[in-house]
Amino acid sequence: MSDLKTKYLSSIVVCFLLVSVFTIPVNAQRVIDYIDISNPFLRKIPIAIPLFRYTPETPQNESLSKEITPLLSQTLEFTGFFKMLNEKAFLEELQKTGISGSSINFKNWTAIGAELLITGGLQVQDKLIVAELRLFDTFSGRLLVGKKYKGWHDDKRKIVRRFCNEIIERLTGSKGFFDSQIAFVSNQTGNKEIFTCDFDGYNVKQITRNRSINLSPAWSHDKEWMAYTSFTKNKPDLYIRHMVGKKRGVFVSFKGHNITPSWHPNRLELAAALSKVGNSEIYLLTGSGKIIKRLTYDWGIDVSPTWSPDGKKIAFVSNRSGNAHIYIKEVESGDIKRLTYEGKYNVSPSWSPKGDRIAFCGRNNVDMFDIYVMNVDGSRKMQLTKNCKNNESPTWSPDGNLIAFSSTRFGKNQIFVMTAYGTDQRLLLSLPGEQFEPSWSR
Amino acid sequence: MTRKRMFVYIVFIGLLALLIFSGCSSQQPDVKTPAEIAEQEAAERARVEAERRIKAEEESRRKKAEIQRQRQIEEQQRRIAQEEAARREKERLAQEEIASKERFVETDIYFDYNESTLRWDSQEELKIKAEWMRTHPDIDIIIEGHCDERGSSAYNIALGERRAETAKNFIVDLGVEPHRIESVSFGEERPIDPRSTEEAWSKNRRAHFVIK
Repeated sequence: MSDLKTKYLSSIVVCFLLVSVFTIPVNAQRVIDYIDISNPFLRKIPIAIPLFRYTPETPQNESLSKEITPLLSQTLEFTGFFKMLNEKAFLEELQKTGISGSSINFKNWTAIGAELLITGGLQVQDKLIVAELRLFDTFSGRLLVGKKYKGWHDDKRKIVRRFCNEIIERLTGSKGFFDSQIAFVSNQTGNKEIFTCDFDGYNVKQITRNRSINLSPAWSHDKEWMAYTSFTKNKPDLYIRHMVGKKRGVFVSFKGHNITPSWHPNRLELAAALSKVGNSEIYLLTGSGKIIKRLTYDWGIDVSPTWSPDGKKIAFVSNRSGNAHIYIKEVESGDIKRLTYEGKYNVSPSWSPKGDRIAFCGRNNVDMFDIYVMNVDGSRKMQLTKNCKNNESPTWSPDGNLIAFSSTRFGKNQIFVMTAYGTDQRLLLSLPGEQFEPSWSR
Repeated sequence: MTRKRMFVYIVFIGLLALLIFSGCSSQQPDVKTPAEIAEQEAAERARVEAERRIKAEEESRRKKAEIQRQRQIEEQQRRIAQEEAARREKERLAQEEIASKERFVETDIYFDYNESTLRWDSQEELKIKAEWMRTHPDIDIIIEGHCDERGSSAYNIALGERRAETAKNFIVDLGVEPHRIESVSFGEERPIDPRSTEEAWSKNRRAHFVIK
């Protein structure tokens, strides 16, 4: 993550596109958890984001501000942490008051129920935008985050996302996910191909173009590589593809199937299900597809591994009991524990990046599929989707607060997002055809 | 033919002799002795007899030839009929061969939901397929395992492979060499019937046989 960030930053600096010119000094203070991380969605924090001040005062700059302000608002709202206050209730306009703490009358913001306030100022110079963005605690009047960014007009989304990352890190103590991407399978071209989009569904890109069947995309921890199942040789094989440069890809094509890749959380290694011994077993592979060791030994089907964030355990699906259930294996000791006992079909486990929960898909008593989460010992099982047809393939956001999944609630399979508590369920992507198997990058 | 000609000669010479003889006798009063008459009558009888015999011989030869020709025709007809029968039999066998091959390829075996164990009807069909493979030792096959659309597409690939493997093992147990059978899973990706109904699902949970 830090490597990537450095790379991301350096590329920006080199291109002179987007530079955080200086950080507005923030009063030294202890980190206050504004957001209750035990259930951040129980009470949403009311936040006010008035239209950004713009100079010089031209109609073009006004429309620019009217574009960037809602973009920031939507980006933050995506997290599910905030209640966006209606601008019609606002008593002050930044264009008149200014954006620094000294020029703001915080009482005018607490009066309308705002607990947080974001002020922004846009200075437009030719093709460059200088954005000064601040986050305030309206009760204490404290500046929580202050940043200044410089970039081209096309960089407005980047500026907004970087500021949102700062806000989330300040409020929750962990990094935001605004640089993350979601890979998914779509049949919009008539074949199942792999696509990617940004966390918010923006910037859809087609990755594979082999007109075969491509499934189960999985990002490496550094987002440089993607592994997926591909039928290009008329059988299910693994393909490991370089996503950022043009390094050569790798085909993993042992006899039988080669499926369900899952990258190690901090090394370029992956677990995957191979059936070269005549039966589906989970193996640990190098990033170039060489077998390091076999992880499961059982007559049953073993598929769909997912790593604990410390890389010490994998959860996976096995039908060794006769039905498909979720198990955990300690990679070093080899100890195996069964987690699910209810129902006859529990599949697609996804281990939360926070480490404490596992999301999965289970068949319910009316033979439809729903998303559940449970603790890593199988306790505190919670059903997140209900009475809305089939809901499958859960995948966690990098901060562990959101879950993307596929649902047929509107007829065809589409990608949805919800909070880790099942609230705020919404459609992520409106694309032709059907979309399946979302996979959220770190 | 030469005999016939010879006979003609003999008759001719006979007649000539008779003419000479009669010419000589004409010089004499036309009175024949009884001996002469008897002789003449005998010669006449011999001639008639010879003619009759020759005719009979000719007739019998002709008959023989006719019979032989008839036989030849019959023989030929029999041969043609035999060839025709053989050809028909060959055609019938070829058609049977095509039909059995088509049946092998076109008859899938079916599975219950989320199961890879062989149903009774599937076992019966596999016995027919195994027998066909034993009588066609040169043919190698691929068994494709398929699933219905429900559940995880990844799990369905593993389940489809199980289905193909189970079918393969059954055929191998019936005496077909394992190296002749390859198995592959397409999971839920290649449905026969794309609808989301029980009927479609039951058709899609199958093992399909392909000749290499």
